[in-house]
Amino acid sequence: MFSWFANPHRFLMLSSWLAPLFYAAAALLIAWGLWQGLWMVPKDDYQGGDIMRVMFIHVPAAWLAMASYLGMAVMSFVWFIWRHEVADIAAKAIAPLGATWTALCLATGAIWGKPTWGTWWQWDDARMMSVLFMFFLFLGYIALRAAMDTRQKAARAGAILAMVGALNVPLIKFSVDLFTSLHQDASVITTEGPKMAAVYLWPLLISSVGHSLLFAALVMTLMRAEIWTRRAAQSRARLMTGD
Amino acid sequence: MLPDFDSNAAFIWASYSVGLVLIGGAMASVWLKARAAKTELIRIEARVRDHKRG
Amino acid sequence: MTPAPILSAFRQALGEAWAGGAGALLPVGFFAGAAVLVPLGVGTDPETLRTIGPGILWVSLALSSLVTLERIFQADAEDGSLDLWLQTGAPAASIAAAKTLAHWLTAGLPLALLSPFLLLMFQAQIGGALLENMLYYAFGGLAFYFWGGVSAALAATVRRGGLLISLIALPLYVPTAIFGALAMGDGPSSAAAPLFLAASTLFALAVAPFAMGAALRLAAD
Repeated sequence: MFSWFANPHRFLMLSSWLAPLFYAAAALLIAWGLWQGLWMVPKDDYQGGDIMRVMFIHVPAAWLAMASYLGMAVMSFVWFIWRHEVADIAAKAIAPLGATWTALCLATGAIWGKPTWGTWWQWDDARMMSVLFMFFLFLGYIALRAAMDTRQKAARAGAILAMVGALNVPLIKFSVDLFTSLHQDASVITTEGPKMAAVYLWPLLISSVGHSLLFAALVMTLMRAEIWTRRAAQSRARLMTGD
Repeated sequence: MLPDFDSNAAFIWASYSVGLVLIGGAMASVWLKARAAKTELIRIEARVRDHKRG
Repeated sequence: MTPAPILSAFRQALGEAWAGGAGALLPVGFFAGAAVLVPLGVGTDPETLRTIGPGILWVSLALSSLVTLERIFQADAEDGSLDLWLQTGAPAASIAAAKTLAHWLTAGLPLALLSPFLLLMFQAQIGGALLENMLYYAFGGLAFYFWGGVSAALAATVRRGGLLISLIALPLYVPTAIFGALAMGDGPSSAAAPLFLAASTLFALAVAPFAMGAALRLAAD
């Protein structure tokens, strides 16, 4: 299956209609989620009143922070084992976008935290801390790739780092959980279980799908840009050598 | 037009503004990058064709 | 495949550490210097210093491991000794592990041995806890050196890679720093924390050499 997608030409063909489709679907779903979240759903007094409406951007961002790092690690693994160029192009494209949504998760979390916990940054919240370290993992990955002088070296170094990072994420998560369980007293808003009424669940789910589609579409566009850039570089090299 | 919040309106709007700026910024930079790459590729390929024709 | 190249890498790394005459004094000086800057910043209240002392030493240990590791593989990649080792057919992972171990012995272990004296400066009481903490610093430092070694190997061909190495290593240091600090506290999870610290160090010893090996083969290309 990977080999089928591994052909850059086939990827360009596929993404030329898939990306616009994803953009359109994302726009519809995100718009519906926003409309529901900001206008329609009633405020939840158990979760601090109107402030819980931040959830409809915070939760999709948190989901994408996790999913995008996992996606980057999987793509790195595929590249490392099978050396499919498209997998490396995907990993490279996911990094800056994943960092963007991770930053969004941190920012909206901090804004949500101020009126709820009375502080912008809750050191005792395991999820905020874990997401912060994921953000650092993304930054390190981007910086390492940028520091390498050839495309091949950037791909190899990036893949090693992404895989080492992915192995460490569960350990980081566990250690942060242990650290925060010492003095956890904040009322953490939960999105699981029966506490979450269906009236919130649907807009939340639709927003998350919308953000995921937008993310995937942006990754595809960035991958297309990378493939075009590489082709242009090849053509330029041929012009220089004169054949 | 805009929804009316009973409490914490500033925080809610701040969250969604950050989202607009970050996501909008990401979209703009990705699209600009793709367009620049495409333009450059077309330019180079035209030069390659000219070169081949002599 | 003989252990000779691995031994020679180990010996060369030991020699490197003592080169320039200063030897282990250099990292020790950095470690102590970083630690004693803190009371100048946060004030000299004994109660505060006693609380933050162990944590300050963890941070100083992490910083000094990064500073010592910056050039560990870079010099080998530049002068060609890396190519020589890899040509002998010795596994890159073993060579990397040997070098990192040598650096921990010469730069990491002395810091742990110094830690009781620094903790006394941070108003700790004399007691068995000081020796226990020394063990934690030694073991946690080993994990720092191995994860730091991974980022140093990845950045081996990057000129002025110091900041890059720190950025990459920082999130990998988190579990060790947390478990280490918890092991020295008296909270509910302090009893289990030493075991977690040991487990995360063993995890580093098991995984990091392979990542370093892959990164070194990349640097040699």
